[in-house]
Order: sequence, then structure tokens, then C-alpha cells
Amino acid sequence: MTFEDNLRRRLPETVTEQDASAKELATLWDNVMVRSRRRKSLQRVAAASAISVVVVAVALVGLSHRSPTSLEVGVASRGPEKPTSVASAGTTTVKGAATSTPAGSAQTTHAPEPSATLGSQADPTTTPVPTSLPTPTSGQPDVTSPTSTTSDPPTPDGTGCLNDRLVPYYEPDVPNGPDAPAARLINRFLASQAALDLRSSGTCLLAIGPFFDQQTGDWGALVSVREDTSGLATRIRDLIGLDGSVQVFVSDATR
Amino acid sequence: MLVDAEIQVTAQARNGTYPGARSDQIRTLFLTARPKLVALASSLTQNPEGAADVVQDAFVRALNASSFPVAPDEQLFYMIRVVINVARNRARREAVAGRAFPWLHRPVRFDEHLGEGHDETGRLLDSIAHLSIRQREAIYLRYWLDLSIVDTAAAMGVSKGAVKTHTARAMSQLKSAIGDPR
Repeated sequence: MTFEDNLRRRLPETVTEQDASAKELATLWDNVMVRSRRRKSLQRVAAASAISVVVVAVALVGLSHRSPTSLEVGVASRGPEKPTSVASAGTTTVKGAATSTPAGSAQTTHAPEPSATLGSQADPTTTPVPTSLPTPTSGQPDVTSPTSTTSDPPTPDGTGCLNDRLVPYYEPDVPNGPDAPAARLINRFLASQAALDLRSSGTCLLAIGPFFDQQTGDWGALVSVREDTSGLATRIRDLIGLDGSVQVFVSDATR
Repeated sequence: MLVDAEIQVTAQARNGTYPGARSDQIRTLFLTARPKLVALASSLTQNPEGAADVVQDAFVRALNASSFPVAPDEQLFYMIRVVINVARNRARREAVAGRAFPWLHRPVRFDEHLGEGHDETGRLLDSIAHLSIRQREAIYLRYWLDLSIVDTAAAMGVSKGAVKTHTARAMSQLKSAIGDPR
């Protein structure tokens, strides 16, 4: 007898087959069916949970992938609309300033036709975007601080002056967007002594906001005052026009 | 005269494809083959107390599986494969639990259930308990269920060469443990 035969003969002795009555088997089968139904329902719940998790994960990934690059492209395409949106109180005045430039104002002789400039910016496909933006210098205010100063409605007294509603910083729509250099200039102005002098002197500030020069392809800051008292336009230009790559237009408007 | 619907039902009843036929076939298999499957699970897991649960779990899986064969002669073989898989998973789980929580895991010895007068069988059981679960599968499928090497390989989900290797190593260990009767 080989070992295999011996094992074949003795192995059944190690196995215990336990018979069960028909009633016990029926009960056991009922248990199987109950467990089967429970397993199916659990699988459905698990599948539904997995689908929910995947949907939420896809939504979160989609939200997190709204990259600044794509937003910058959007801003660039709608960039020309910025001056209109941020200079609500002064837009009308800016247009008027084109025809009422005071004689002898060196600052306004080089300024492009404001109404034509703003009007031409409505075509985003033809608007050049500056390729090299001036880098901020040390000590400049934080451009990420909130709120634009010029989006507020005219004052209740109807003068349209923004003097009492100036807040320290103008925030560009997108940090480091195409209008960021202009925003930095405006911030520099708003944080300067010139702005304090403006308030104390009673000079009416009508509008301030980013301005795009289509001819030069530069962004600048457009500051519109009702009247240029005590050489304020020159002082403002000297203050915020130091950066040669950005041209500053000061519009001395009168009503 | 039978209408079309009745003819269809009659045909489904004849070839076993009527709604619920699969469940009925599995139930019939459960009632007839359960003792042998429980014994197999008990031998593989070396845990008689959990063997009935292994078989019940195997039938639950068969009820939820779409791969349950229609041919009656393949159904028992299919259930053997499911029992082997469930038993193998359970044995692995218990081994991990035994390592992590040794105070909770008490191995059940077969000879506790045999009583007196089974010294040789007890030694054989003790030797089998020291085999790996793959080697136990090969031994029981080949020498208890008398499956061929091909069927054993299919049931274990391994190649024929692997079956031969597991069988040879198991036989070697058993020979050295209980002696060769030749």
C-alpha cells in the first residue's frame, strides 16, 4: 500500500460530516436568503455612496482647477471694460475733459482722446495687453487689500466728489492681472500726502481708476479732478508717474 | 390550448431558465451538498466551529453572483471553488487576527472532537494542521474528493504544476510526521 493509498483511506476519518434535519436545513436556507438580501441592499448603498463620493470629488477638483491663468485670460479679454467699471463717478467727466483741457497744462497735452480711448477699449480683440509689466517697488501698498474707491455712487449732495469716500487702496479684479501696475500706481497715490492734501484742500476728486492707452499699449492711472488747484495735477503726476513704463494721464475736468 | 405565455413558462421550467430557477437550483444544492461542503471548509480552515458559517457565506455569494453555472454537474464544483475561496480568506483573516490579538484567537484542534481511540488519526490531523492552507487544499481535493489534477488546479485557481508542487510538499511533510506505511 502506497502512502497515497494510505492517505486516501485515512483522510475521510479526519473529516466530520454532520447531517442536519430537514427542518434545520430549511432554517439554515432561510438564513442564507436573509443574508443574501442584506448583502444586496448593502451593495446598493455602497454603490450609491461611491457614486456620491465620486460626484463630490469631481466637483471639488473642478472648482480647484479654476486656475489663475484661465482667469487672467478672461480678464485680458475684458480688460478694456475696467475703466468704465471702476470709474463710475468720473466717466462722464473724463469724456468732458477731452474738450476742456486747460491751456498750458503740460500733463494733458499728451493724453489721448479719453472718449475715443474708452470707446475703443470695448473691442477686446484689438486691445493690446502689456507684455512687460513694471515690477512693484518696495514700500508700495498692498494691492490685495479690499475695495475700489471709485465704484461708489455719487454723494448725496450730488457733487460727485469722492473725497470723503476715499479708502486707502484700490484692488484690481485679479492680482497680477494686466491692470495691476495701474492699481499699484493708484494705491501709491491714495496712500500719499497728495491724497491727504486733496482732502484737506477741498479739491473735488471725480474719478480715479486704471486707464489703458491703446496707442502705447500701457496701463496708467486716470485721475480726474474738477479743477486743478495749486498745481495738484502736476503733483499727482510727479508722484505716481515716476515709473517711466506707465504713462499717467491727469484729466482736469470742470463742470 | 396553451397560450404563448404559458408555452414560454413551460419551456423555461423545462430548461431551468424560469424566474427564480437559479435560486431554486442553489437551494437544492444547499440541501444536498451542505454536509460535504461544511466538512471541506472545516478541514481547510481547521476550525469546525466556523465551517458552517463559511458554507453559508459561500451560498450567499453564489446567490448574488451572475456566474453560477446552469449545468447541474458544474454546480457542485462551482460551490467547492467558492467554499475554498471563502475559507482561504477567512483563514488569512484569522491568521492576521491571531498575530495581532493572540489572546483572542484560540486555535481549535480536530482531535478535541474525535474522542478516544483515534491516535493515528489525531497524529494525521496534527500533521495536516501544520500544512499551509494551499497544501491542505491540494491534499483534501486530491485524496478526499478524488479530484483530478486538472480539476484540483481549477478549483484552487492555480496551475497544474502548482498543484503538483503543493501536493508533493504536503506529502513529504506528512510522511516525515506520521511515517510511511510501506
